[in-house]
Amino acid sequence: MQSKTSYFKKELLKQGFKSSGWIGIAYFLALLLILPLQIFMMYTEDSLDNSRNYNHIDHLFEVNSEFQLVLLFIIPVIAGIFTFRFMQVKGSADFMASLPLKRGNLFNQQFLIGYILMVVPLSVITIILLVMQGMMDVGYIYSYADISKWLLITFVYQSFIYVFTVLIGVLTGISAVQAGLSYIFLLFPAGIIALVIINLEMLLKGFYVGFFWEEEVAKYSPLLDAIQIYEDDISYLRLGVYIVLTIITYVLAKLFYQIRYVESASQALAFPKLKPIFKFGVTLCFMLLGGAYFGLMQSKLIGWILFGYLFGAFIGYLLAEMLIQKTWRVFHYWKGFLAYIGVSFIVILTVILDLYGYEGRVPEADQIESVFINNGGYSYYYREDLEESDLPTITDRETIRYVTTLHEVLADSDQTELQRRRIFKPDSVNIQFIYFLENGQKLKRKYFVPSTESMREYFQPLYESEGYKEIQESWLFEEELEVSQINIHGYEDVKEVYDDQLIEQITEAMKKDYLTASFDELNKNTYRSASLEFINSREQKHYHMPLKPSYQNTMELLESSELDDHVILEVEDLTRVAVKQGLNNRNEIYELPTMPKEQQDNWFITEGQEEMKQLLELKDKADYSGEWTIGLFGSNKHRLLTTFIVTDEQIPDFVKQYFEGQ
Amino acid sequence: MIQISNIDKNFEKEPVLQQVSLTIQKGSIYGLLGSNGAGKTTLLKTIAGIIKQDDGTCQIENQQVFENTSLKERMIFLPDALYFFSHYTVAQMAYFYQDMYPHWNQERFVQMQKALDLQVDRKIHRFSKGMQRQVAFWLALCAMPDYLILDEPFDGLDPVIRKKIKSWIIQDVAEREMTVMISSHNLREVEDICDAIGIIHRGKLLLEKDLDDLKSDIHKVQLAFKSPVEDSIFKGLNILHQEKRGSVYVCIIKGHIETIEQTLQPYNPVVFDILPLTLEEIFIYEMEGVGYAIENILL
Repeated sequence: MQSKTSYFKKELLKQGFKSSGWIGIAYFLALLLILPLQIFMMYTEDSLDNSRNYNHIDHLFEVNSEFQLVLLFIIPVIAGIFTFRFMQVKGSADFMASLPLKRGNLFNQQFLIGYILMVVPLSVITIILLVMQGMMDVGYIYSYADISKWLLITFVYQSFIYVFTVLIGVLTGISAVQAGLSYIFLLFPAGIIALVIINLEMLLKGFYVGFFWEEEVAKYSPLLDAIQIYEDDISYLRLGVYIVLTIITYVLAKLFYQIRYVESASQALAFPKLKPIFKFGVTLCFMLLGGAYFGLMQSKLIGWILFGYLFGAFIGYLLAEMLIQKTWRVFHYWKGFLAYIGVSFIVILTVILDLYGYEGRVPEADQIESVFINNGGYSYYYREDLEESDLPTITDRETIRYVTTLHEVLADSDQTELQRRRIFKPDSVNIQFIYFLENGQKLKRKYFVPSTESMREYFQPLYESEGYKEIQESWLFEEELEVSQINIHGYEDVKEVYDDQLIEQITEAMKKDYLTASFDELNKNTYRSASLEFINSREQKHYHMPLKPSYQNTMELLESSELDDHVILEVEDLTRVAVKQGLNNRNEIYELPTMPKEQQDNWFITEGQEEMKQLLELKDKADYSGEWTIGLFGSNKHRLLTTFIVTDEQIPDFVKQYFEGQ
Repeated sequence: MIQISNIDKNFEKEPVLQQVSLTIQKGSIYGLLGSNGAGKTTLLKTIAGIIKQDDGTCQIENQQVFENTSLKERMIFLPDALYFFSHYTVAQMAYFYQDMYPHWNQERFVQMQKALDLQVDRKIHRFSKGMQRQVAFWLALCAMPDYLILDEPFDGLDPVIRKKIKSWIIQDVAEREMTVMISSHNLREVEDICDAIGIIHRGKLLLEKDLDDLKSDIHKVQLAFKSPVEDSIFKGLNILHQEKRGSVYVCIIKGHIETIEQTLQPYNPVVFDILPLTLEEIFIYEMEGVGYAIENILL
């Protein structure tokens, strides 16, 4: 009798749901709480007071987003583990393999079970959301388009994480290892790139990979990438990439399952050939991690970094060996370790000795199309949409020459040594170079310069060049600069300017002053000076420019418009000055006016014009470190205008005498 | 017919089976003997299409077993540690078998239930070990397999159940020409039902014998002569073992009974007894012949 056989075995699927069905139910209940119920609660809350804006959201990921992410990270991994649990346990692995099913068929049926466990709850929730949209007035919370977007994104990411967990499951033989490695490898691409970058930064002077590399790198990890999904608009290209990756991973998982030995159940790795790769992979990761840890902890001393490599590699090698052997007594397997250490230290040595010529590479001026240079100012860091190709660049040949000259000096200089502990001073900079070369390539470097003052002859011509200034405050030189308001931040108050004509005058004056500002003016500590805030209210952009006494055009204009009160701090503005040595708590100075008389005696407090003048002059010489704290009080004795720190050498004798006399 | 030739299998770098070849005739019961770790289970799993050999061929009815669905539909493998889905009742498990094995015989299932007096709606994992073993055979036999591969099926069972299960197997072999392969580490457990025996040791098949041939072929001969005789009188006989207790020779001789009689009768022995050997004795002497002490392997 020829019997009828179907591809899908009803009883096999039934068994799958009997053992793993709880995942689907748990997922459904969790989603129900997180989404429809939460939206319903928002809706009833809003109905009470007829407010409609209270619970406005941009898309459905904003509803309990943390919980949604947690589910997205956990459910597919659990589904992947439990539906393929059968192959990790000896008894069931043999039993399933003895059934009259082709391996590919068995794989597909189990795969389907896990998929259904995720997709069915997701679909039911979608239907509930659709019904709610149709029956209740929740349109202001979400739209039909929001639902489809939410479903699409969740489905795509979930599918990938699930299929990836299955692939890892096929490659391993223990469910716990499967879970661990799944998460590790979902983070791995980003993690290893970040580690390599951090290590190269410690080993190579000037190493720099460019703006936003952290964000760029995060995209290579599906988990880190998923965290961003509710922040940005979805990119269909990105989803497409995930779909392709999902299909590839599925095909790989199925192929590997078909050649996987059934007897791999309860082995850490199912394919013996993976063992050396795994072992040295783990060793490499731990080595980089060890180097990064000890390097960062011990201010990048090369000895500590090398120790970190050795220590990290040792730990990594032992851990990998322990996992593979499933015992902690693995100390006699040291030959591979020695071989690894030998080879890796040769590689590291070639990097340290810079045999690849990275450190000394400064492009010739005629190879450079344009260059971007930034001295660590913040203006470029908070623009998410910014790409390197959008950066303002210097094309002027003379300025480019200043740049390469400075670069050559920095590349050679001992001052920019990377292993040194970085001590920041007011004239320290983190300077970045991005060259756009004629041949289409980019060359990027970054150096920490402890003191620009000490390298004045190279910094001055660059800092004073127009080309450099125009890209440091590129907004100011934009053709269609749009300023709707200027705030003048003085020491005592803020004045707002709305008059278009005046705004334009101030802007032009500031341009002029800035372009003619000297190296010394630019390098002067501006942290505590008055400033101008240029506001583009349409685009919600705010730009700050320090207001310096030497900015003649601007100062004159403010003076003639009677806006110059308190923008320059003069001794006449002060009522008293307080000084104390070794202040533990900086808040103490704010409490000074209300302190009892006895405690105030611990301070040197003066109201004498000459003494106040001397102390005020120290303001522009203030340092980031020093043991003397000075506080300046304004129009009335209780108003603290600013505080700063100076060193023992800077403090005038009359202050010291006061404390010696005590 | 099961035909295995030159199978090699390694777990990682450790050889588990080396150049194993054997043949099992249709409708026969083959006993695979060996100590723990000899490679019995691996060999059985290879035959059942669970494990894929590294080298050599494993064929049933001239077809490769691995990934062969139509063959596996007619074959059941029962491992030494039985596997049932957790929390499954006998009935649920039976549905599963019914779905998997197209030749499932529901009539027989009902019939055997009466004989066994087991409740089908009880969870299998609550049964005792012996009961679970019976359930496993019950389900296996109702799938009407042409090939039944049993790994240590009698281990730890009491004689009553052992006998019952043996009778089921023999019945199916007799009625439907089912082919059975049984592994065991104990000769006595299987000698009464096997037609052929193979001994595996450290991954190698040491010898393979048809039991009927064996029994008719090896003899224990006790001899005594009035006067001392030369050893040369045994010339021409295949002596596996010989010892002398006083004036009595005890010999284990391989060969036809007539040949032995014809060779020794002319010397007029006072005592001349030809005795049957137990299967165990046969193996002890056979193994001596190939250089192994059977105690190390089987007993």
